Amino acid sequence: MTATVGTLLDDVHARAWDLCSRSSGSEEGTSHEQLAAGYLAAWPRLANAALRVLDAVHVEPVWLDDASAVREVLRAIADEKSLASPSVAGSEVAPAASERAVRAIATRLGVIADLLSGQPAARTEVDRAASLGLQANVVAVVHAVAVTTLAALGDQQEFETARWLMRGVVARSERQAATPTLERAGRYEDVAAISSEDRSLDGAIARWLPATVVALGSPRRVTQSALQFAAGDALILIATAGTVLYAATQLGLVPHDLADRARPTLVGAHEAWRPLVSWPGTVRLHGVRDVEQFEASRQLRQVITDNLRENRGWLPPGTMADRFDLASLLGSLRRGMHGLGNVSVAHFQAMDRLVRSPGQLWIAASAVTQSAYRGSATIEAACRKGWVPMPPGEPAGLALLADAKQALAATAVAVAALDATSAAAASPSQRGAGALQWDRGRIVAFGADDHPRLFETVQSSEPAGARSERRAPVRLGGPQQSSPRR
Amino acid sequence: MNGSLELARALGHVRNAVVAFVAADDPTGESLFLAAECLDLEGLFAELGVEQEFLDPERDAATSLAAASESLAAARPLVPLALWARLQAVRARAAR
Repeated sequence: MTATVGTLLDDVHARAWDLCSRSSGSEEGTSHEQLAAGYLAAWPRLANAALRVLDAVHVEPVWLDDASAVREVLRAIADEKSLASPSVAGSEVAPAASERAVRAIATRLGVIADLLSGQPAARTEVDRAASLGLQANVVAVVHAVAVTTLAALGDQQEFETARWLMRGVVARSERQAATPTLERAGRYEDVAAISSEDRSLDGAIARWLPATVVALGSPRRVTQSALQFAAGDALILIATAGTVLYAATQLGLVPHDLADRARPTLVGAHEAWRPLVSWPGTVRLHGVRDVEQFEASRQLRQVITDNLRENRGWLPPGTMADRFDLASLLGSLRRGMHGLGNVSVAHFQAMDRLVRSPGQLWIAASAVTQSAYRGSATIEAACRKGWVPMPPGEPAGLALLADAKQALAATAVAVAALDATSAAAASPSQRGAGALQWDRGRIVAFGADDHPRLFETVQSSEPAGARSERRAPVRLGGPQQSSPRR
Repeated sequence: MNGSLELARALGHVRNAVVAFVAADDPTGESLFLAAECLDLEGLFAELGVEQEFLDPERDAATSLAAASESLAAARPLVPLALWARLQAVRARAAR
């Protein structure tokens, strides 16, 4: 299974949930002081990792930074050496389970930050919403650990400074931690650790993308074949994305309104790429095919055919859901569409270079339309059905460039619309009275009331597709439940 | 028989097949994969240095592929077995 930011967040939230659950019982052989010291010892590392995630995706400076208050207090904790100092009772003993648990969370947040480090700056509204959702998911974990730490600190005198810090974290993180999980989902959860050795669709895309971009980006290697292959692969990827989106919508994994918005954009992108597969017969570009691109393209088609097609058609939604985790598959296609976005840029740039530079493309002599270029040599070539270098400004070349531009624009629109479907399927949010709740695999903070119920269990409901959940509140101090999984 | 001309014609037919496959309104998506396979074929022609002959489109992609097959058969001594095999594989897939 491909590790994604989403699956890592699932894991981090489940671990934080377990941590909270453990705090309500007593750890065998560990005093409350040791428990608290263990949490505190791991906090600088947790704060650093959380800061790295919060800073991983650059956003437009004009956007308000919702996490600035949290960053401030996390920086203070990251710099606070006294938390792990021997002056704190219990910290001189071997790392307690509580410390290891928080360190494990910090490590995974660090991995998330690493995965996100290559992401371009957030520019669109979709990016911004995804970025805020990501922040909320990270801050919710920080909040949960802070609440648990604060509870463990008790009223011991030596923990006074730590208590102030933890209260600061809780207060500043509560608003973001309370963001409903539905509003947190976004495209950054699709960011994955993909190996090009992987034989999955992700792996095939990971091989196809650089091979195609390199072939198109090299003035010497780009050929008509390379451009046509890229366009043909684009058609297949878009059709695959549309098919998987349809299946996911049918099974309730994507809200219908989001799918309804994405579908026409995919159709538009598909239409835009079509003419670029079948170039005009009167224009050509010499050169042999790029072997790497050809192989990567063939593997991509093969993986799609082997996994998602049967009897010359796409798998029905039900069959697709039986064989694959559709939500993950849709995530793979969203990543694939982002890859296609890169290819469409490289394709347009290559076409722009070819059309605007003299002597790159060739045109059938009989097809030259500009009288200024219909000299005797051109007429002679036309008589023997020959070819001549395409004159500048020739309509056939400009039409190709216009098609490439249209494909680039339509692909960008489709990518954004498909990104928007990464929001989770809508369902009524059941807000209980507890301070922390488990909702769709993520921790959500709510204001405590007079009868706090800190935790609740989550059980997989029987029907209705992959991951619907129902919750049953459990009173604080009750028997421990195993942490739920999304 | 002019083998080079037949190869050029075969390529022209394959290109026409690509155009027909891409233009097809096919909800199964099969024509997209067939178009891609025809592009593979075009790549093989390019490696042989074949220049395309302009041809009027046939009535459909399958007919274009059949015509390409006839052209290759006419130029048999010049046709690498790989090219012939690939074309027949595409025709078989298209006929299914």
